[in-house]
Amino acid sequence: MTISREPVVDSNVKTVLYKILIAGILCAIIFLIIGLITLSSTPGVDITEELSLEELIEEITSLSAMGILGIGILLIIATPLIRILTTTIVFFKERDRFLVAISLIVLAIIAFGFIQGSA
Amino acid sequence: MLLISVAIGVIGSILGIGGGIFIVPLLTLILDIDIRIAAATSLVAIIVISSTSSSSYLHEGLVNVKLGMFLETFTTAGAVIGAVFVVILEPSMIEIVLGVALVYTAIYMQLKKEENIIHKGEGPLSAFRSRFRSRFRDPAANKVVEYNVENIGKGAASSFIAGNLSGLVGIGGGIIKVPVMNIWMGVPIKAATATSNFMLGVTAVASAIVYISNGFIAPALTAVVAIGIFLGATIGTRTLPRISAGRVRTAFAVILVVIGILMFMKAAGLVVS
Repeated sequence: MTISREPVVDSNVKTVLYKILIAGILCAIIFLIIGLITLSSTPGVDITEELSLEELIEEITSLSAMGILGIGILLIIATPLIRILTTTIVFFKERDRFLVAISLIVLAIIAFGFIQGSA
Repeated sequence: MLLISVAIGVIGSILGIGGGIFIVPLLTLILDIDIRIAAATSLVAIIVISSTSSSSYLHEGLVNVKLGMFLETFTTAGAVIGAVFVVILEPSMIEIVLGVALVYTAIYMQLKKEENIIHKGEGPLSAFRSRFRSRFRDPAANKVVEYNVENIGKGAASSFIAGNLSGLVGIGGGIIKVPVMNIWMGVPIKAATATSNFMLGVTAVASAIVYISNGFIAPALTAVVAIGIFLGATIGTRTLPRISAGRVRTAFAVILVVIGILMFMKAAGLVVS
């Protein structure tokens, strides 16, 4: 078993993840602000109006105010997923098999939850 | 709702808890909306807190990325595998047990000082354990804090339970994972809350996808809450490095007691969430 006394700092993955998270969340917030401004000019808006997945996709493709909000929300959800994919690639390049395996397991669990939940 | 979201964003980002336990009852009480819409809104809000705060904490060096990734495997597995503990205990019994555990943890956190918990980076470590060793600069104490991670097996098991309970009694994993990392695993409180924030987004994403694909999303409401949370988390992440570890632990203990009492109230049927 290898013995180490050197403090391990979380490799250069921190810088990469910082950039991804900040870019993802800022883009999402910009879409949400634009969407809300556009929506506020529409008369008779109900803030609690809910959309089915089909309606959400329809609104996104027509780029309506609700569609712009939808893009913002999807960007919020995509950000942690991109974060996991990036860490997998970075740790693969750093040849840390243990953390590559961990990242892939998390992705597999999320996929499993999605398939199970949608069924 | 925007102002309330800002406040939850500040608290959540400093303490490493998503804030779902506050968002869901507030949305259902104030706006009288379907609990599933409230849950979906809350999950998106948790991802916003997680991404906003962990980006900043990564920059500050507070997040222990490898530990976070290791533990999130168990939390996500716990959340997805389903309510294992409901087979053993009734939900109201789980709420009472959890309530007692949270209040006990709050007292323990106040009695046991941070300096007696952290194991500094001294002595030889196995290759597995040295992977999780980390350090960060604490501007409030004006020093570099270096630490080893202890009891990794216990931490993994607790993370699984945290994920498992999150769906069952409506709490996010943070309220369990932060004290576990701090008290059992010897992770300094600031690194524990930052690492918890880093993990929260991934656990929430798994559930959020399911809610949205089933049509439980109110985009305008979610946008208002998400913007409020973003503003709050931006303020919170600027605050955490500047306050002392002792104050963070006291604030966390207060939240533990509040949520502990909320658990007793839920068990008694006084609160629905």
